[in-house]
Amino acid sequence: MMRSKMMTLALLVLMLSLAGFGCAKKAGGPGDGSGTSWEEQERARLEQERALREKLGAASAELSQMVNFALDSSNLTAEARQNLTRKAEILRQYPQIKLIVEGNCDQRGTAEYNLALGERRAQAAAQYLSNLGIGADRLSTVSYGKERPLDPGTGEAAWAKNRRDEFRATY
Amino acid sequence: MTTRKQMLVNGFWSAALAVLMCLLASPAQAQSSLAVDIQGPGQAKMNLVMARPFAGGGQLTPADKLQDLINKDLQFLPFLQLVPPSNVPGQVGGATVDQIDFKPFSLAKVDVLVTANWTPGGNLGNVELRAFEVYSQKVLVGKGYDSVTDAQLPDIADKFCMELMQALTGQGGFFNSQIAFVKPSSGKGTDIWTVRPTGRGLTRVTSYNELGMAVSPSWSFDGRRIVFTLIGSRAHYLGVWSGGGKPQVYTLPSTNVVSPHFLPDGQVAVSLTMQGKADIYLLGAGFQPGRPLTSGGGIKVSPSFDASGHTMAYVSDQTGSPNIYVTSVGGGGGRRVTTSGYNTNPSVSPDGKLVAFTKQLGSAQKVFVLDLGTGQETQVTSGGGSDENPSFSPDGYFIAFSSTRSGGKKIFVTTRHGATPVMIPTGDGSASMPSWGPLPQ
Repeated sequence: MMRSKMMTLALLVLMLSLAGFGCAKKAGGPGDGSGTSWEEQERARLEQERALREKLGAASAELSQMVNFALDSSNLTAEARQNLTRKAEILRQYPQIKLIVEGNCDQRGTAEYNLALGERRAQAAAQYLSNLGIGADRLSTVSYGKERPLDPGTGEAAWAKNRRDEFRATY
Repeated sequence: MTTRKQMLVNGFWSAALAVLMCLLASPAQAQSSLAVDIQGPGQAKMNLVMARPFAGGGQLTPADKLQDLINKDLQFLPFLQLVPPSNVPGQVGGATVDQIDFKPFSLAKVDVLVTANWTPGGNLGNVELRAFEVYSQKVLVGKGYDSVTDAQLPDIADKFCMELMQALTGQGGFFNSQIAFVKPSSGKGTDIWTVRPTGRGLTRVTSYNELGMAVSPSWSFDGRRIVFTLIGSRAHYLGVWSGGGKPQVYTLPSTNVVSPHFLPDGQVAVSLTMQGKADIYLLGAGFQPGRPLTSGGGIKVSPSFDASGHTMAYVSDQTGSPNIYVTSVGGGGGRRVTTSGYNTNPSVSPDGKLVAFTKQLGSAQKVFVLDLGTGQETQVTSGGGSDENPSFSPDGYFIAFSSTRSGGKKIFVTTRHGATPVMIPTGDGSASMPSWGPLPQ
């Protein structure tokens, strides 16, 4: 059952990448006229990721430990560095997996500037992992700005919780 | 019966709302005596009375409904002061000029008198709407509609108010515009919606639901397209909606695709992070990055353009905290126009003279308007809550913004002069990130 699902997925991914090759621009995929909608591609990506994380178990949970930041800062604290060093060990242990770093901000600034700031935070962690020898091709970043607060409340306690990087193991 | 057939054949505006008569002296004539300069520095108010509608055919219910719709529309126009008819001794014997004694209105300093006259006809009946200039007893706006239906009442109210605003100010764009904005959908997703500023025509544009967050919508200057950022699980994408159907989604060579914005000529500018630096790029063929419009250090986001396409305002944090800069699209360095603090969300007025933006005061944002000519900053929103994402109306008079002043995030409208904000109906749930565009012509 599980196996056939994986097969279907693998086939889908193969088809998608072929469709991507057929396209002159690097845009490969969404909006390239390949006939597969962005929604279908996103669903396939998420499904494949879920399956991978299930297989990884505890390692995936450990990789997903968050990192927090000080106000208006993308500097990594000593605690954050320790956390990232542990992630680098796991990534070395599982050379087949990749890591997505999600940058997040607190609620005080405005949305668009925070989307750019969140990217800076995500890149700070990705850069540190890269310095520890993890290949850049295994690391990617996405910023959610202030759009996905862990704690929607106001006050420093909530804001501190929201200034963070989250991490997702992926294929 | 004939009317219904006509409706099917000729469509909505052409036949069902057939203008019976043009009661009117020309608008140019009207403007010569009674006119509001909405672009000017100050804000004088005109007093307006809506007389009780005349409903000879007994159409009290639709008459009251139309009256209520017009009343709500006029409340969006801060240069009008609505005076209850009971404040003026009743001298309106009918809806036409010979049936009205204008003297008491003149004495009560009423500038504009609006009458409605219903007569029997198909569907709900026929209605004539008139706006008189009390001083000259001239008709400013006169409209007649035959065989109206209940569903047409909002459009009749909007059309009448648009012409009244046109007659008084020379601009009626408010009723001829639309606002794109963001509403939460299922899960953590958000989607783009559109609505007319009166709250009519609420329409969902994207349906990503829990799969993605569609944010930062921006109208093209012709009101036919919307660009937006689509935040997916591993990157941002550029979404382009072209007036119907599903939006196209484009992958760019940057995982960060922030604050896309149309130029007047239909090109798109967007902030991308390339080689570790967030700059604003002009997109070329296939929405792929072309020429950068900014340079130097720091984060650059939130481009906004005037109607000539020559002036761009944007945000840069090259000196530390984010501030507003202005540059020429043709090239040249940016000029910093805000001096201190945290200033973001610029929106350039269509004439390129003003920039509306938000300034962080404490832990909340407030909307300010900066005069680029004089450097003068004016705070236009105040009170509780946080006010974000100001967006100029196409006529440059109104400013839409999102605010938490009434609890959850909702969209409000003020003016460049800081008129009392009026909430735009957007349905249940929160609404944010307004972008104001015209209705396509």
